[in-house]
Amino acid sequence: MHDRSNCPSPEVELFPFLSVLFCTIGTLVLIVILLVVQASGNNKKVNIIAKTSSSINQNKTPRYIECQNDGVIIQPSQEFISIDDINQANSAFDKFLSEIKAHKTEYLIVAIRPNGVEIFEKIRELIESEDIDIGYEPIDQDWELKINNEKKKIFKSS
Amino acid sequence: MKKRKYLNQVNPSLNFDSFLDVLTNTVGVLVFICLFVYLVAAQATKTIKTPIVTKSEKKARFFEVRDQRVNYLYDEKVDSQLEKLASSLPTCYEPDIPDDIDDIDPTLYHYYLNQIDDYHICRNEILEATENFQTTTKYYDVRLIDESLIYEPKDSVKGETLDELNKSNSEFQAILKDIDPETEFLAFIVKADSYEAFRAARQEAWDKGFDVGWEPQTVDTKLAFRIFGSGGRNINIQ
Repeated sequence: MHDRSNCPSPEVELFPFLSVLFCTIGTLVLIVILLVVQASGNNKKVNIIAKTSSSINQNKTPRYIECQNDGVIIQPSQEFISIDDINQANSAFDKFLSEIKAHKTEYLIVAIRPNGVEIFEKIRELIESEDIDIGYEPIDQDWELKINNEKKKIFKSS
Repeated sequence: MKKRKYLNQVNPSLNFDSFLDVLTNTVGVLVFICLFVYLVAAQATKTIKTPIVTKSEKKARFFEVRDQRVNYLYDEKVDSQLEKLASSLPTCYEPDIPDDIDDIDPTLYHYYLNQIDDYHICRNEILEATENFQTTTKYYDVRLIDESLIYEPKDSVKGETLDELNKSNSEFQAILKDIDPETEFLAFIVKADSYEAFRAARQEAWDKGFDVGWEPQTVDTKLAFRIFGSGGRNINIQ
């Protein structure tokens, strides 16, 4: 009679499967990290907000314009005003400045593209001649300007 | 003879479906996380805080940011040399000529004429002395031209890069230690191609409690400070 007790029971080695699993998870986690780093490094969307300081800031609400080589863009309405129009009397830019001046609690933040420095120098004279407070910020050529106008809406509705 | 019966032996087989399920599910979830994270990161908006421009009585310490490098002007050395020059110059007194000079005594007329000549000679001496004024700092050759101090960058010496700025032994950090934030502020003249370096330097200054002002310039604009007469623009804190 055969002695069955000596027959080895089949054993399954799970380590190769776990290794594959861990390798896959590790690789994908690495990919996630790389994607986050890359996406945050290439972040081209910027939102400019008022920086509060201890002194006069900031009961005023900012309005925004963007200076580029051929004119200015009023944000967030994206209304473009060319350099020729800026120099004309009663231009849209004049009206925009008058609007800010009328609201005593508003001031202007100017986003300056690298190719908009000369335009900025011109419009700054206009802004200062209207006695409007100003803040300005350098923004790269390929950045997309996102203006959060929630505060403005609240201000207008109040 | 008894026929021997053999057991119908079946080779042991394993079902790997469970493991494959775990693997597939894990991979699927992580791929989904990858996509989600990428989309969130791509849509994220960087926030920049911009202060309002304020006038200040603080003294400006000037830096030029050019070619993505921060260059200190060392203008206090130039100022001290200018003061030395000014102290060595003669004082010219403008003659007080009466309005009715045509009606006065001819001898007095010659007296006033001599006074005017002396005044012009004195002025010319000052002009000659100032026109020849030139000095040098670490990064610039400085000359006085048309009542303005012109800072011409030296080709041989470059300022500090973005990475060098934040090092504890950098020149920028050493200069910051030398600046009193109560009485002085940092004024950056920023070329249009060097916004990134400026933002890094400004953040470093803000973090250390300094006030900062800045002025954008086109790449080709010469760095000049008007020291006589009117014109030019003050850099204010913002």
